[in-house]
Amino acid sequence: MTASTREEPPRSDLATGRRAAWRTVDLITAVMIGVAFGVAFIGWGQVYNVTTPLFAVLPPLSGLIGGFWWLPALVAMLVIRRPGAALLAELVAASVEPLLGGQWGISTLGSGLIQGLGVELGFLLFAYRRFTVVPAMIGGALAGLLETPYEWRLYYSEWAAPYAAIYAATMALSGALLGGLVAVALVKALAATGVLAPFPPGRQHAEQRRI
Amino acid sequence: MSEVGAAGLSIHQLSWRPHGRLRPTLQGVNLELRRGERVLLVGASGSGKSTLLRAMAGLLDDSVGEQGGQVRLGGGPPGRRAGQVGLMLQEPMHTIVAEYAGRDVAFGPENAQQPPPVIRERAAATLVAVHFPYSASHRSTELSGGQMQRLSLAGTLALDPDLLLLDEPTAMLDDRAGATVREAVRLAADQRGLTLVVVEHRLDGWLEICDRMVVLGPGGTVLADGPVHQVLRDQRDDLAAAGVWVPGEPAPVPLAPDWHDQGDWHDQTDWHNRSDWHDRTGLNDRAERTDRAERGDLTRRHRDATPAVPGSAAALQVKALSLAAPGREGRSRMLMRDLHISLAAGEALAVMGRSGSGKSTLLRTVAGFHPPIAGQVLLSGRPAEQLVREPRSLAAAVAWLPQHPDHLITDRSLYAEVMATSVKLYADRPALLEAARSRAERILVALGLWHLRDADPYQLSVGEQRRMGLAAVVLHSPRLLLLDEPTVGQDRHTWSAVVGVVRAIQAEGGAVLAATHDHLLADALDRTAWLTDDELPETSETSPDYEITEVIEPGGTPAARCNPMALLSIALGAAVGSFFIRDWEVGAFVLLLVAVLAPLAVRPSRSVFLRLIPVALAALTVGWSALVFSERGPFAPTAWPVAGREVLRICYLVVPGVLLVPSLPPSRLSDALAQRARLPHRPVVVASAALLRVQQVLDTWRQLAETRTIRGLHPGRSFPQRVRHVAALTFALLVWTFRSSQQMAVSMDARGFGGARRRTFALPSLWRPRDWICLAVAVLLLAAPIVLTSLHW
Repeated sequence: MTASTREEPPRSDLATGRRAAWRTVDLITAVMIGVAFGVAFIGWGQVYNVTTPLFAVLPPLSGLIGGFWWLPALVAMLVIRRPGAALLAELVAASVEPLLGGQWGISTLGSGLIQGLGVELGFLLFAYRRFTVVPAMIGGALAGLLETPYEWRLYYSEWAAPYAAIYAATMALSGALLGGLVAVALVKALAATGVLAPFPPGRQHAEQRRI
Repeated sequence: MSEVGAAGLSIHQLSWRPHGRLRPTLQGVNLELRRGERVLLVGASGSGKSTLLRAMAGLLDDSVGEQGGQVRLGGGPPGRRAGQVGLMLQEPMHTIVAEYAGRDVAFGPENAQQPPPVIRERAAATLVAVHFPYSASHRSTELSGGQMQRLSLAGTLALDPDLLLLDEPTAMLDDRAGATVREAVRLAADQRGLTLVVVEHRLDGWLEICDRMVVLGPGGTVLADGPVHQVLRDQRDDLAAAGVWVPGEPAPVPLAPDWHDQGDWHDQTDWHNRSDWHDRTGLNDRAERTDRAERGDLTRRHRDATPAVPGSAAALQVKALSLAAPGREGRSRMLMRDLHISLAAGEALAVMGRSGSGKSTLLRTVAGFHPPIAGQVLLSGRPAEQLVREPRSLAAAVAWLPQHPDHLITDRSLYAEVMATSVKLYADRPALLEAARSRAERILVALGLWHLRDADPYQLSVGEQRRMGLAAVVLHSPRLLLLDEPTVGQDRHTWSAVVGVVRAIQAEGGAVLAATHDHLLADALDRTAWLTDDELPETSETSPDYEITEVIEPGGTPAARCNPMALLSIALGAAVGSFFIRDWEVGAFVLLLVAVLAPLAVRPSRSVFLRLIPVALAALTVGWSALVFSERGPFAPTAWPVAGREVLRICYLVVPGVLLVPSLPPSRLSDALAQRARLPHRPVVVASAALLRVQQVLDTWRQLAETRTIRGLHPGRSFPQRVRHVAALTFALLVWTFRSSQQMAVSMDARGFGGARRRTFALPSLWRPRDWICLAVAVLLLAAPIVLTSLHW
């Protein structure tokens, strides 16, 4: 075992080694999370189709499903637990989208950057030392709050301020629930399958199961 | 230890216990290898062979488990020098990192920061060494399994390893491809005096290459160790008991699961309507037929037991079928023409043919998922494409065991997984459901899975997953069972389970169609159909150009020849410029400018227009919302020109980027981002390796969805059901993603990526005069709206 140079004993819920020192498996997992969600988002198309008429009538409500789009960032951060994981996964997810014919072209890269940074901010508030539901929900909400002005300026610049405010509120709410809460549940379920063995959630799961 | 030379491998008291496991997977392993020795490492599934290989490569990660003892290679820990230990994995797709073959081989030397001319020279030399059939500019994702494995071998050899570890490198390949891979390994070992460690279940072909054989027991304990032929002679029975395929051994005795001893548990009469056994409609000249007259007694008895009923519909009829595989950019490849198959109830047919000859596509077509170019598929007399739209009828008629049984997993316990289809089919027939439950118990007992009934399917071993898959697909007695490579990479135990289940299904009157490379399996079935394929050469006669050069796709537009950074600047220029569009007239004018420049980036085609449809819809949505939610009030007369302007502005913002995306291949983009934009090398390289896998991830999603549909688990129309369905697919896709990411990481680290913070690149990302023109276009697209707006106001 590598000895920890820090004074406190290593915590099993944190990434091993220096947190800035990414292993290859951290990197490849972060980017593949981005690719997998990029593909899954197309599959979810058949579900949003149902919501389209509603959002066509009241576009600011479309923020209600916004949190979904930064799930890659949240899942990557909750699994890998290194600063930058959310940003990397979200940027890759945002690059997959135009490759697969996304409607917003490469301006999704800007969204990816902002959403990734928003999620990072949520975990930064806890000095990247807590990876629980609280920072996940805060990160999800912050991503929604930051994304709103970008989209307002870029796509919906004609909206009056109150509509933009509704959009911001729905985006933050969705970011916390559909993003943060769902991501925590998803990572827990993934840990139970054993595929997270190289990562802190997998390690924690293994330790808890051990008798 | 003194005997072991300076470059030998020495393992002393090695142990490995994954975190959270009580028992170690390896315990007290001692092994010494002399330099140049070639060792065949065999053992039962789960004896820790793969873990031992990773330990030999120095790739065991202490965040995953605890390692004890010592591994030394040439007097130090293994892997001190990048690529000192080469590792080949079972699934070749996991080792692909670059878009083109030459760059893929260059990956290791790039990590070792060798100078670009040296990298290119090495890559070319190793492609020669493995007799790679294509040029260095061939797409690495468009290769057969055997070719990919040889590319992976070349990537390993490019770092000049002392020790080469092979983790079942031919398990997924057909015989011929496997032989070419073994030959390439033998040649490399001869020429370079490599120390070789091979893990395989099937020993034939390796016995001639290796000189020593080590048999591992549970926990990695060494059961036998010595010259290959001596161990083979002394341990023959033990090896067979461990499930190892020893050449010359007779095929395993099929398991005889006796699960229908309780009488007819539901109406089977219609499945016994067999057509005459001897009326076997011949396959045509492309698919020669082989009669297997000398069948085992088991099937023969079943045949005689059931009287033939003339005139009834065959379980499967394939009539004049022609299939094509979808290719890149709409170019498709013909797989088979005018194929005829007729399969009576109770009959089993093996479909054999090389990788890429269309076996899997044939199965997908039979299940109704892949539209044929011509011809028809009838399942018990009904067209497959009609049946596929009725999930319950489809599930009752056809069952399908995919090649990767983990694609089948939908539930959190083995028992629920096996019952899933029956629960759907018999939702309103409690008596049948009860019968299915008792049948499930008998099947699980027969397959040795009953004690695991509450286990999480994901936590099972590969062999257990395959047996679970068999149970899950046959529980409801489908009329036709489709098996995709059911025995690939399996030990003798799983093999006998597969064949036993096939026989049991036949005995019930079900027909079986198995796509396979496995001659023993084909021998165990009634007939074999061969698919020929002459379009994929395994080796080539002429020597292709192995020099790594910048790859410009033929027929590309001028934009495809420009530096990706220059192209990105165009998209960025337009995006920023779009903010200065103040009225619809200016918007229309600058969009016209984009339309004029567009032919430099794309050739007008249907696919381009298809790509633009979602953009147009998005722009119209924005226009609509500008009309309704404007500060001027909903549908105000003054809001209309504003809405028009918004539509045009969004198009200007998005369209240039959309048009340029096809000209941004991952390889050149990552070269540019790392070398021109000076972004950190490791994330950029990994991201481009991941983008190569978009197609693979899409295919996996499709397979997951199809597997569910055919099991009768297709969602209904209701919104919650759809959400549950897509959520389950997303979860399964993520599990697959995590698994394959870990394999990819191992493979990349074995090629020296782990320590490569800065890398060199085989090709420079050049900035040429034409890139200045791109920059000028970027400035034009940025400035045009500004200038026009100021003139217009």
